[in-house]
Amino acid sequence: MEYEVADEAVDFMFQGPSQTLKVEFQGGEPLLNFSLVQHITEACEERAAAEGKRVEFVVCTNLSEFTPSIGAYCRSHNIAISTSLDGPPDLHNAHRCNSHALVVAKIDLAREWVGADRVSALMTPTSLSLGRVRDIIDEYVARGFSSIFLRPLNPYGYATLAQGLSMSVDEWLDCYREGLDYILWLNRRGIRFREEFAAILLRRILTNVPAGFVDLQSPSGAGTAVLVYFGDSVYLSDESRMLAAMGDDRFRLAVLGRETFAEAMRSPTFVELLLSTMTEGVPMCHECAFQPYCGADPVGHYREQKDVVGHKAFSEFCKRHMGVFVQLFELLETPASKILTGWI
Amino acid sequence: MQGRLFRVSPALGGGTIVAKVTPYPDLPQRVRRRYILYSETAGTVPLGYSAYVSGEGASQPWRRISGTSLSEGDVVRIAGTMGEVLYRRGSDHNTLLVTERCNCSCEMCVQPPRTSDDRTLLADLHRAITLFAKDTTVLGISGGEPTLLRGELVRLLRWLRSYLPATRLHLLSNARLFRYRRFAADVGKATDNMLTVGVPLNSDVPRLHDEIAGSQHAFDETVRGVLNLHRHGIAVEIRVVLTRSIVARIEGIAGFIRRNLPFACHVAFMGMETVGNAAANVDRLWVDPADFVDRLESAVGILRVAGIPTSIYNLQLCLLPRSLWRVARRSISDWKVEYLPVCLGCAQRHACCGFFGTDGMRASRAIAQITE
Repeated sequence: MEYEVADEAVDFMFQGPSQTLKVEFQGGEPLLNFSLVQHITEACEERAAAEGKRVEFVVCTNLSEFTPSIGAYCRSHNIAISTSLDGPPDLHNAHRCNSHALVVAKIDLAREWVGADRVSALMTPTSLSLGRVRDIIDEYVARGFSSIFLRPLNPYGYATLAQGLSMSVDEWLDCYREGLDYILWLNRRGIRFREEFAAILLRRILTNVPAGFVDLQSPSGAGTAVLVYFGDSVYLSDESRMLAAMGDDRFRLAVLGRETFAEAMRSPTFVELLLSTMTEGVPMCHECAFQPYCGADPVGHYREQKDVVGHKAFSEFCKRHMGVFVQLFELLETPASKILTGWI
Repeated sequence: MQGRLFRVSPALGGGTIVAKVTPYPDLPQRVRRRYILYSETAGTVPLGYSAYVSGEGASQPWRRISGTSLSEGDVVRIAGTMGEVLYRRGSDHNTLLVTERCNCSCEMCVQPPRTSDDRTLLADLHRAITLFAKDTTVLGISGGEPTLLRGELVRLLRWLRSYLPATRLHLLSNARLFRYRRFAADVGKATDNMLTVGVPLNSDVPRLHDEIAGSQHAFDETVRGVLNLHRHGIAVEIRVVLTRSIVARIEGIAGFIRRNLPFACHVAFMGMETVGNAAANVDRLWVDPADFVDRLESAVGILRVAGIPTSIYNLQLCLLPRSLWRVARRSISDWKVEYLPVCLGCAQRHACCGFFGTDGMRASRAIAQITE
């Protein structure tokens, strides 16, 4: 991204009404262009101070280029780190070209500089991860993490190209159940450890605090809770940008310098999208017991069914969320609820 | 309750172990090396733990422990047959000893300076800190004189902030090296307003302070250090140990703080703990609190008028006029505190600091049961 484009992006995001903005730097590898990260960070800080808004930052990085001086900058500008750790060495190395030893060393360095609670890791599950969920969790515990996000694989980019790497929803749900049970068992062993997806859903179910999670918004969180800036374009979500990279720019909301924030938000196609993703009125969602806690996934449904609403009987999103809701509500009726509510 | 030091029977292998105590023999293999398995009875040996410690003698690899008992979540260091509890889960009195070297030799020091292998000590502490519970409310850092570590202290503080972001830090220091602005600035930057530095002040008269500290220029450097700490946003607590020579000028000291250090976040008047140098010099240093409570009351009054929060540590309630009870704290660490036979029926025992159990602490002639 050019500096001039970045300035336009900062201007665009500050035109919105949000009082608290979270800026996530993605790539590629953002640390390879850290001067741009610094430029955007400082531009945002200046703008936020002038307008009385709050701004938070996250860098998504494989950490291979992380140094103490980058760490010192992140510390003083309150930039959190999000990295990838797919599991024990053999699994992580199979996914990410033998980088396990490097990433765990860099995680410790990042913790020292940025703060242990400001360094998080995400794991990407593939078919190689099947049957390994306990190993993956053990790796996170052994590396001193206090939580893990057991998330499904996004079927984009390399992930779809590498056929045979994907995991079915049923496989994922089994994996999730096994992982959640195992994490609860660890908690009974004095190891405080959370599963983040469950924590988000429980916060949604049991409290009035907004989950702030894009997948759990009605209407669509894509476009309202998140915008993705790539090149000179603004997309509804990360998935929209990946879809565009695969040749379909249907979810491009605006072009920087061409439309203002207000124009983009009022564009008929976007308003239409919001109207059709209010789960309160979406067929099959409207009669679902879990609707108040769930959300819309227009981009996912479009990819799957070429329709932003989608038929829920064929929806992976629906199946996945239903499966997890049933598990959680069952568990809330057991003694495990004490541990689960402690995650909120 | 329980001391920090303990002994264990010899192990087969060597090396220092820093690990967390668990009673569970079935933790996942990959995380076991972070743990010491502790059990009342030495049973089977699940492989992979960094040590096996039990209350009863048994065959290797089980090691018999004596001197204390351990609880789940404690973090311990074992070197050879010597063990130390670095961290007690759930206690508000955890303190990290980071060096035994010092640049003063105070006549009432409870932990007289020694040479120490700080590099090894620090490596162990860095590892230990990653194992402490994240909900720890407060953690002390003490010595020796921790600032002698200079850059290594800054790194340790940053490490503490990184791993325990919700924990308040309390550093005991004579603050002399904080006369260097850059050092004070680095410490301030590393600790984000979560650090309080507790600084002993022996007198309002430089020469007297220096004599008690056993070091020339100590007063001047300490005062400049304290001003630098304040300049860099670090909270400062002033500590006044109640020895004979210090008590002689107690009101003068309170006045000095009011006039020159009004930003102090807290002033603590501390009854003497008679171990270390204080034990060696006890006849010269000790003064019966009954002989100075009236002057202590007026010193507390000076600070109250100045709006500086004030506490009295280590003086039993029966020695103090009721007007001072509100500033008297239960200050003696839970693992040290003891009570005398006369305390048995005392109505205020629950609110009283009690006595140091580690020494032959002198009891005032005025110790008496309170009936209501």
